[in-house]
Amino acid sequence: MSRRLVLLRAAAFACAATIAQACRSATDSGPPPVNLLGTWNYAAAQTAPTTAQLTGTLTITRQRGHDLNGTLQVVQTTGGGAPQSLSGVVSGRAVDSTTVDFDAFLSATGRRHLGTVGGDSIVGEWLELSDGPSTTGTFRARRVSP
Amino acid sequence: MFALAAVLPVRDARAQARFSDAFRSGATAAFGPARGPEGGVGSRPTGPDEVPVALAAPVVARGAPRSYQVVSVSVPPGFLPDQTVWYDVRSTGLAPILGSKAGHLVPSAVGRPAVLVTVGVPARALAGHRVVAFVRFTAPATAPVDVPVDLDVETERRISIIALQDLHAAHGGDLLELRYRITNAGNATDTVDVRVMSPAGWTVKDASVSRSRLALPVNASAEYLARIRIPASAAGSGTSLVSVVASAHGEERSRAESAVEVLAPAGAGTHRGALLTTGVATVTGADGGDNTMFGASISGPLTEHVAVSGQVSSSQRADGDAARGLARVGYYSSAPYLMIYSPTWRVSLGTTGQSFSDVTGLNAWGRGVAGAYTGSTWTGSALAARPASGVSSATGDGDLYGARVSRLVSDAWITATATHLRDESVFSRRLDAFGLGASVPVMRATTLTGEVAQRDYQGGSGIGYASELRGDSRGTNLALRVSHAPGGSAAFARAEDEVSASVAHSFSPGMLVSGNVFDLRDQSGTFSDLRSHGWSVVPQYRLTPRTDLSFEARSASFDASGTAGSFGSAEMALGATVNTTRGAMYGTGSVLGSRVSRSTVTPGGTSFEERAPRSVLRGAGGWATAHGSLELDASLEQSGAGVGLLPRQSIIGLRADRVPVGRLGVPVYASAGIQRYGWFGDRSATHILRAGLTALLPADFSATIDAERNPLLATGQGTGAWVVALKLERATRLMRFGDRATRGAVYQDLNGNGRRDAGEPGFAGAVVRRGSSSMVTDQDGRFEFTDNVSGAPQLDVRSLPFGWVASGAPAFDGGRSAIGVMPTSTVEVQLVVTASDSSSPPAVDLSPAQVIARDTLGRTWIARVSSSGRALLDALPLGEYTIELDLSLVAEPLRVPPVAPTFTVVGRGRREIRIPLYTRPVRFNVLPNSRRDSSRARGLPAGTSREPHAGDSVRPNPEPTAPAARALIVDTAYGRVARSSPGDAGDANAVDQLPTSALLASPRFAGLLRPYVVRRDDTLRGLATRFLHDEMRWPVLYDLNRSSIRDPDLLIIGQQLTVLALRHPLVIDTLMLPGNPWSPSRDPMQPARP
Repeated sequence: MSRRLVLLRAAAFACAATIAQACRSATDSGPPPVNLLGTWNYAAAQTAPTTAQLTGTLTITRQRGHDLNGTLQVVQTTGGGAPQSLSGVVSGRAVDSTTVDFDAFLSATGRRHLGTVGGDSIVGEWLELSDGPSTTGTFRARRVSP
Repeated sequence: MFALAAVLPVRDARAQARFSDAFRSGATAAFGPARGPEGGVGSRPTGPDEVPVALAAPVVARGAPRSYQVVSVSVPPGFLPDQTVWYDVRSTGLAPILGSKAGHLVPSAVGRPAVLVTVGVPARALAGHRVVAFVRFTAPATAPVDVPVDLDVETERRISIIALQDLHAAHGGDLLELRYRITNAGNATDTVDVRVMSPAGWTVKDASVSRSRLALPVNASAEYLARIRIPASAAGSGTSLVSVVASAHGEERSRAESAVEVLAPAGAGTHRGALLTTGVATVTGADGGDNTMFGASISGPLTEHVAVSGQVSSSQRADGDAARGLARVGYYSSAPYLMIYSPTWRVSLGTTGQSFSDVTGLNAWGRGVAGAYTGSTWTGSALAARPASGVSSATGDGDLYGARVSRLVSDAWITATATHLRDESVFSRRLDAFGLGASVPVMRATTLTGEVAQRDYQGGSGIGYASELRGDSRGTNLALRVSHAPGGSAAFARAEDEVSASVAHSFSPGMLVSGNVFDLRDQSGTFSDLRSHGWSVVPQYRLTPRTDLSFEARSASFDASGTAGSFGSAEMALGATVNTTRGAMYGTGSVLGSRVSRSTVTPGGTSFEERAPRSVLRGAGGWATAHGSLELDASLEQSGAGVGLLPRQSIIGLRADRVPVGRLGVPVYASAGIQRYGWFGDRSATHILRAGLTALLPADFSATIDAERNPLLATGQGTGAWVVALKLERATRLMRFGDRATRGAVYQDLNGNGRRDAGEPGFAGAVVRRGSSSMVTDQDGRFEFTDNVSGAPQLDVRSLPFGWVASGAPAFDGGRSAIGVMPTSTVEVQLVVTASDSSSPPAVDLSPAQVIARDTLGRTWIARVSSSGRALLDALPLGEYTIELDLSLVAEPLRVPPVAPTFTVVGRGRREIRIPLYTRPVRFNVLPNSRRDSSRARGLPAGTSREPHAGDSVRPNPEPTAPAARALIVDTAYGRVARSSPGDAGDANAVDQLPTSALLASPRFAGLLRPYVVRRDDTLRGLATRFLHDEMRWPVLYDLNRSSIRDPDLLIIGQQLTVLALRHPLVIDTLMLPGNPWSPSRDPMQPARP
């Protein structure tokens, strides 16, 4: 059997495994520890490796138990580059009544946010891991509509 | 080679007439109808009063053109074997006959005697049979018999093909027409097959003359047109050759090549300046801020070595979906900047920044000025700016100053850096640093760089250091990095501590393995402590030349502590990716499986940790061409029932970009896309729709409309509303500074006056060059250069079709150039040797002659003459011409018309001019018909005179007035002398004295006559040798001094003479050649030595 055939079969097996994995579903029951549904004005600062400002809208459209889903759209403006309009889905979890932990998938790699919830505001830090210095920053969100 | 002729007298007058016609026309098989029962006999009349001559079967001589053939003609059987037979060889004029022309044959005991006849086969002889001579045999009491000599000319096949235009220029995608002329230069009708050979990818659309097989008679020409489509991909590819091959009977006979220069599209070259784009964009259906924005940008070269890049936009700030809508048409609310740069330096104004080094400051961005210089021994960079928040023109608190200088010392670069960086705009970062470093080569293609710096940052100070080892040799690329920067990213560093390595090695042309490892620790201010580390290994294989397969194994994790608590993630993944291409199609597929763990610890002490599998499946395929692209992509992601990660998500999308929409009057391109997000029932699926049109309007304007409906975004109208953006722009290509724009035209100078007059159209397809730039004229003959090359454009005359020439120097005035080309005419000059009297002209080889056409400006065109006197002046421009003839190398003296022929070329076409050439006048002086009476011969008694042509020297004079006289023939121009033969002398005219008056009147002798006093031992022969370079020319001197010389044998010392002093020994008349029966050397009546 040629090496090429072996490699192709390995790839096909991996695909099948992935599809099978996709058939599993996730469940989370129980009341949410804190209500995060609604539209939030989102503002963030990127602190490393370069600085940038991000402003936009965080929308939490679904919260079931601890799990939450939504979208994030931002305009990211760096000190020297052109602004970027970014958007993606949000998926995360309310850890407890004062802490929210979610990923915003503005790119293939999620930006993990960890924030402290205080009423209609969230304050915290975010981090996007890469193969070198991670991109880090702070964020603040204020709910404008439930 | 010989045939015995059976002789029978033929009395049939019709047969005689038929043969006579065939003889005159030189037709082949002239003897067939007259062939008799004994092997071919006939008869032909020899004159009204002559007896019929029997005609024998022909003797055939076979040979190729430009050869000599010898045939043996035997005495016909009708003659008795013991009979003496006289022969006379008479040429028909169709081919030169050499050798003895007359004589007698005595009986031979060996066999029947024969006459050897040498036939010269003319170079232009047509293939086939020709009667070239008759050998007449006569004997007493026997009827004369003519034996024809039949020349069978072998077939000679010669095909020539020439390109009617040596150079063509075109652009990619053009349909090019190439013309060729095919000529049958052989001596028989030929059939020619034509084949076109063009570069790969070029298409021969059709080839006419409607067929690729031609039947060409002798000397006939046909024009061949080849149409070739040049592929668009060949644009700017340079010069290629197109060959046209002419074959006959399966063999290549000739080929012609044309050069085709494929130019780059107009405006696509490097000689254009920067592109300035101005425009306005607006967005509807969105909220947030001002929805209209003006902008301008510039990008491209300013001069040959300096380029510019800049942008400015209105200061209004658009937020949210309005900004997204504007961004989709390329408009952002950003701070202005301008950068001017060259290969060695750069200066930027406005929004600018600089990265110095890991320990002296990275990523310092703000509003100000920055510059950099890179030389062979020095490099430097500097920054002076205020920190910027990145939006509009607002600046935050702080200062950004720094400078870095490097100097090459031996093989090492020594670097010194000083920075003062304080940025409070977005996040507080501070650094004051001074560092020294060096970069040295340590081994082959490997460099070690190190730097140490004193770092003062917010809340502390310390010594930082950074070192890096980089190598790239033998298929291995290596980078090792170690740094320590107190203050971390809050003090303009990548991290506080970093160790990383990356390596890639090519094990074979089809296998590459790369990997990396990293470990970082940082105190960024955002996080009190941040650690991350990871590794990856990626082997890549080339399965086929167009298919790659790669695998990936990687791991990455971080742990961070901030105000909201501590959290961390870790993921280890395995994956594979396949990429393939098939022409314009491409495809990619990947699969990734990983194990993810996440942890969270809140300030309140709540901790959460979960591990879950994660799988990703992605695929995409598309078709990308110059006429747009189409792509289908899909992905499937599945995570375990954890937090933060997508539980499940599928995305499938179809996208088309820049697809031409035809026939709208202007170029219009469309883009559209649809994307479906699905979450497997956890949420409702979402469709994102996008569509747009871009129209390229006249005057460099363009308009774009773009619409997006994105339910993931919340707009002013809620989710799912359409956001429509409009943009109107104008892109202007600027001139490069220092360039000289030169516009001009190539026009048809139809009247040849060197100026462009009304009604003179442009000339399309001509190549004009200036420096290294080349342009081809458009349909109106126009061209334009935009470069920095000085000088006037030059027409490449190779690009002119056959029959066109430049009409003189181009006019160049104020950056505009006018280059005239004019049609030419083909003039065929036929030199006709004409007798001065009613006799037939002699056969003269005119090939040594030259025909010279001289125009009113003194320019000359020279044509060689064929042996038959035909000269072709192929391409004479418009104008008036005078024809001059150079006959100096023609063996036979000929006179040109007293008035030089003139003609006028008024346009394209072909015309013929016939110029008569007259044979030279000669004098016949009657000599005594007695070889003993030499004194009388030298006395030259008076008689009549005339001026016959040189051919008369071989012809009997029709009016004999002095029987038995000899003629002394003198060329009055050259002083050549000959004598008549005894037989002819009896027919010669009596002539009077040699024409001294004619000599004196001749312009050729002006200044050549001089007085001479006779000295001791002088003789006329001696004086002829001295002054005329030939003692046999003594009669000329005698004639000149007839009044003073009573006896040519007696000269008196002190006697006054007139002599003709020739400067050069002139060509001796053929009559003087040894072997010529007319030569005095063989003349038994040669005068005694005077």
